[in-house]
Amino acid sequence: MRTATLLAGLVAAVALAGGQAQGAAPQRVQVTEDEWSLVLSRQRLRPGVALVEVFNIGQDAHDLVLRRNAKGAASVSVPKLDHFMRKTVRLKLVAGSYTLWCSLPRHRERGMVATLRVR
Amino acid sequence: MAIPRYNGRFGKAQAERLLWRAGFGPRQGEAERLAKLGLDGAVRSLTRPGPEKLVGPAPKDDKGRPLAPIDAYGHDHLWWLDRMVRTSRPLAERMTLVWHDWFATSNAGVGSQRLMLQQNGLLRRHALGSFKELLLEITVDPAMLLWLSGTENSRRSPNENYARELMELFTLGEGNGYTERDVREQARALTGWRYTWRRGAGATDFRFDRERHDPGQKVVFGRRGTFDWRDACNLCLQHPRHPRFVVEKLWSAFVPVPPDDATRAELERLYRADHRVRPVLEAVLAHPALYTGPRMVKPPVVYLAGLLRGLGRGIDTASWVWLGGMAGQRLFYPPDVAGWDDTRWLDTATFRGRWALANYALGPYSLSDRKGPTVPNDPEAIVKGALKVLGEPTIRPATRALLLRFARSSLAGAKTGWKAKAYPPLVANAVRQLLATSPDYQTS
Repeated sequence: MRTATLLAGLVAAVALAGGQAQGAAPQRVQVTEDEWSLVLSRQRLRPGVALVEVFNIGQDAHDLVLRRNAKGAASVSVPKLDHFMRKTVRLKLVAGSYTLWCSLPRHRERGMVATLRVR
Repeated sequence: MAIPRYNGRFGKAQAERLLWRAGFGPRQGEAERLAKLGLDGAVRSLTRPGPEKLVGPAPKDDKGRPLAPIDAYGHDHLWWLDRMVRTSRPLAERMTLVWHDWFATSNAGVGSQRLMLQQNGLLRRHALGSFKELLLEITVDPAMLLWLSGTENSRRSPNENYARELMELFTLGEGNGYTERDVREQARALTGWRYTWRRGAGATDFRFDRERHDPGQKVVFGRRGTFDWRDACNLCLQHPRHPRFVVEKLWSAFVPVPPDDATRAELERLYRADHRVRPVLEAVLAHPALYTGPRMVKPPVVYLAGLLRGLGRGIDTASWVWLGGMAGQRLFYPPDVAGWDDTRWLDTATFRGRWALANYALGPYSLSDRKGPTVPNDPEAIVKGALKVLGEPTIRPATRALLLRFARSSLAGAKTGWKAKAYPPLVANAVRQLLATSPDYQTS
């Protein structure tokens, strides 16, 4: 399946969030990438805006794709990050289960995949 | 023989030094208040503090959002720096930093801010307590088990990493009373720890597993037994060379020259009784060497926390993370298992970081002829103003004279015209920066 770009994610349940809503601070989660794992600083978030920080502590470069496990759901992707680089994306998450993975060849199969629950 | 005790004047300057060495420097007026307690009262207020109160504005990032120490890179550093700035238990927090340096665990090898913060809590719980309890708990702390390969150490494949550092860095000192065979045998004693890897969550459920432990006979320091991880720690604690190692290393965290033999022997006696740290600290903090000996370079994070305490500023920017690295001290990332090298605090590379730390700390207080109060075209007033902003630190007359000379020469050509208005705030900013980066302020 073709991975949608960050902007394409706007149309789906996973969407890049716009301006900061007034009031509560956004939830945050850190996704640590390494050979060969993805580790989330928390496995569960509430629906709403979240800051997702992708941090590559591995030796190789890795990217990240995040997609809700629902028919027709689009993906959000974070471009390839080199060793010790990080990138934060702001997303609006609806309730559901999300799969995160590195889409570089064979990285997912080697273990770079995780699940995030939103409810 | 009793341990020598400082019996000279205990005024503001001495209280200031105590607060810098045993904490993170004074807040405005704090040194004067501490001096009024006298030496004993001052030391006891540090070694026997009440419950912690965090005083000052809550920490936030550059966008005004609360910190996320587990979920955002660098927020672990900011979270701890905030504790240092706002704590009412400065010695407990400083000892947490001492233990972090002692049992130097780096997130570069752990890969989990959550586990690093968990270890930080352990260090804080034992900050002023028993070294024995601290050693036993840190030996099986999840971050340490990952950092020094404790979970890769099994009966079928012993790993000597923790066993070696247990003796070399944590309890005895390099080559001090142990052999390579002791390292191998201690590694066997330490076998048995494991975790469960959960996809997405990482290493969890750290536990002792008998199946992975080597239950056989071992010989450590000439003693024979079916030792396990607790025995491995206790054997080090009972080693005759252990008290001297602990006492000298603790002392060096507060005083830059070694203790004399008599003092060291008495401190060892105090420590040997039950491995409690507080009595040793009370003796060190009241010792004449702390007040009359040479000055000591402030570690970068202590320097910054103290600057912020003096200014009355809370954590409001993530810049402290990269600036801390530039100055040589990124919390939770000591450079190696031996911890930070104190001789690097003021080298040509890290001094630039310190200069930048001062510049960023003073930034919000920057003066100009377009905003803020009018700055008098008066060198004396400018130097006084700089001292006031930084919480009235004690400086040598020679340093004050240099600052005054700088202010005078800078204002010499600004008696009339636009310069008369524009120059004083610029000179005031420069004097503040020079004061904050002066030898007097970089050391205590």
